[in-house]
Amino acid sequence: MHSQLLSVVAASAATSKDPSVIAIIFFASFVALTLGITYWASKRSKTASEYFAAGRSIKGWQNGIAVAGDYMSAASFLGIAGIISTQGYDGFMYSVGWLVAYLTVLLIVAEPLRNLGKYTMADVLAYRMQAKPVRAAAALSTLTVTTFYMIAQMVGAGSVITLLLKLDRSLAVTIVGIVMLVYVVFGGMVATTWVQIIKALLLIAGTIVLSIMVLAQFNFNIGKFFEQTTQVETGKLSAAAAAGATEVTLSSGTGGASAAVNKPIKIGVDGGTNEIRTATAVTNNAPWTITLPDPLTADVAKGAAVTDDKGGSYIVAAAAVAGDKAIRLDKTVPGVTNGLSQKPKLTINGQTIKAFAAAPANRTVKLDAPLQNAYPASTIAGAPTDFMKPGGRYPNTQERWGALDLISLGMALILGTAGLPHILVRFYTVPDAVEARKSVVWAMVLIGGFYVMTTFLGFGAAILVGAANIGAVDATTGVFKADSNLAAPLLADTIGGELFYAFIASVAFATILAVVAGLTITASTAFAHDVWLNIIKNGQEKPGEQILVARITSFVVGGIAILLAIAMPGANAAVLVALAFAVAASANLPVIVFSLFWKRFNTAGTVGGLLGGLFASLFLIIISKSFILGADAPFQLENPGIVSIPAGFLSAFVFTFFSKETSSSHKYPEMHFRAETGVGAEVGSSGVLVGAARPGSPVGAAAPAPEE
Amino acid sequence: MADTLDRGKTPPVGNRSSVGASPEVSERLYEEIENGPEFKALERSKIRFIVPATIFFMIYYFALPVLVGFFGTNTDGTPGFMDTRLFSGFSLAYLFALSQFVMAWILAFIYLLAFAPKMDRMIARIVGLVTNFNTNQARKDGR
Repeated sequence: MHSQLLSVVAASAATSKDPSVIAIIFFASFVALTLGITYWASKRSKTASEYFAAGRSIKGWQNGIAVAGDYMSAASFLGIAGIISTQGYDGFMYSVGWLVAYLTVLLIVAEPLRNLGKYTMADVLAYRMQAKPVRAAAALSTLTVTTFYMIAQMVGAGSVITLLLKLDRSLAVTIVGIVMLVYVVFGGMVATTWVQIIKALLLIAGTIVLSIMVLAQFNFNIGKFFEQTTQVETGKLSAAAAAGATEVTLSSGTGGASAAVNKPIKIGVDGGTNEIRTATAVTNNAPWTITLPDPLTADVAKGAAVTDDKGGSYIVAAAAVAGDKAIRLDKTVPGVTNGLSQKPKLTINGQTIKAFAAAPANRTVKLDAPLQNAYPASTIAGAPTDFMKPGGRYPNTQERWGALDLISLGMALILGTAGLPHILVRFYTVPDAVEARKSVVWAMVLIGGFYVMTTFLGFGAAILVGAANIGAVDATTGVFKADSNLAAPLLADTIGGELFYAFIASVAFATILAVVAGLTITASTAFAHDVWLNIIKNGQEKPGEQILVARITSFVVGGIAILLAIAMPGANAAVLVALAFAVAASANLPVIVFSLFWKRFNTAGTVGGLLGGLFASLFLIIISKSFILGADAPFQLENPGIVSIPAGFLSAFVFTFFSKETSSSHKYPEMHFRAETGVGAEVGSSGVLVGAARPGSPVGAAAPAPEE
Repeated sequence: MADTLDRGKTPPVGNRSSVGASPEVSERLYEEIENGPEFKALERSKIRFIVPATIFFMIYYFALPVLVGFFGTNTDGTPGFMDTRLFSGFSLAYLFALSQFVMAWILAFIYLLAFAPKMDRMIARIVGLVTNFNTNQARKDGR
């Protein structure tokens, strides 16, 4: 029995191009388990309150785990490990910000929100304002934030499933989308909550085991682990090196680029054989690949002459046609220049083009002493890089953009969480504000513990997998492509073998599935409850209609997310999600804070703040360097938070004074009283409004009728 | 005020909204209770805890990106003050990042265990006033 199983494992490990049998078994078991729960839950979701808010019957600790499950997305598990493993310390800034952000939720928004709301964020914003414009603007902002968030999840899912099942990327994303829709459409909030709980526990268990296994590689010597974080190899051999060789060729990745004369070069990995030599000469090898900001306007023939602004001359190595965004160049005068500058100005066909980036095919490094062992191509090699040093992603240059980007990122993370619609609605699933508070603290313990462990995941992958090996071989072209989202699964593969790899990959998949389910239900509730019921139907609806609309919306939103994710290239999930946080912090947080604590705040301010913050953040993302414009973008930051969050607050403030509306301030004392004390809040699993709501109060009046 | 509000009794429930089922409440209830000493005391004590706590954690948190961003490395790429190594590769920047977790947990538990129960007792008294008011009102209306 045992030897049979082992031979299956060995066989599937040996043929790495085939889908892993173990991976498929794990994956199928998880899907079966969660679908079973969904079926069980679907029998229980009859009323709107049960479908959208789990009957407000989820206990505080359960909701805490579910909040953690909703929050620890592809960005946390795949994205952070990915940034740390390829760019070092700076990735850990995401971990810190995403935990401390819960203090904003705990101290400022969780309890008042639970006391005031019903199903969506807009319930709170519309409480004392004119409902229709506020609900419309809030629904737009909710749909934008959740879509942004969802794209990042789908991009991460695409990476993992492509690696896990060796499937085509588009097919992988489509499968994720369909399974997640089944969850939400048939189960509603109860099913989603239980999926979150199971996934959160699996993710934390998997991360603990992975962290222990990483530390075991260092004999549980934490000093040795931190020592190794300063010695990460970030390049690869581009050709095999024989024993006795005195020169090697390195790939032109970040590590290859860091090879320098008189600096150490390390070949091989810890745990296997490795040797450290000193580079005596480094030569950049042609052909160079030049990435262009704009497509070529005319065809360029092979052999055409090209010059750069430093006096170098080159010939075109391969013909390019109009529309191409890259060309390959060979040197014509050897020894005149040691290659091109990083961003050369080229003259092609008499036209001057400022190129994006120039990368040599590889680098030849002469060694001070011959190698003792032979190494195959793709062996980790290069100048050891200190990954503990800050600035790997956000360098502190003269212009200070890196430092400002760190602050901007921090603002988006710490203020965005309290404006995330899919996290805020989780507080409607508990019976009252006390349970809401407990669930935040439970979530903080779990989330914080998890984020501390991203240290071992990220640096562990950098050391043990090798920063240059984080990626996958494209199934169709056979070419290795870097993909930082794969750090955690590859780490599991390297130190735990096939079985453990399959487990971690399934956990990653489950993580994404659960988050996408949470996002879908939030987006569909925003549409069904805020737009359909309260705007189109004026709060009057036939029984069951709202749930039907939500289910249709789920399919539409899910479909859009699938299409966008297929169209998106494999960017880092954490960076993408941080943009969703920036949108949430700019559009939602200012109006939530003002509506809770500023009496004068009114409908014009709410709509102005929501739309102002939304468009400011979207506009800055579009003109930033993280989007299509690249290095020459007018907005030199990756995250727009530092500008768009103040813009959101300012626009909410300014628009307030454009209106003389007084009813919003008249309703403030009642709202404030309910927010602080919970008198009149939605309670229990009956979904009936109990308590001392003021006659004519917007929520109080509309609530009981469509409930049952 | 004393004729409508019986301030003597405090029901056992806290921030749990299990108030009497009467949906009809007059404007006067809110005027009296909202301007009453119990609610004012609740507001004051919340402000006294939450405002300083928020200012503290915001300053402590933003010190991290500011210090790491500007003093993690110098502009010439050499290690900055925050990149001081304490033992092996373990840096001051990493220690300060870790301390953020400890800070967040401690503050959360202070709020949950030390401040919130006090707040819940104050809320319970206010909810008690609302319940008593509703009962008295119902009796007066002859319901």
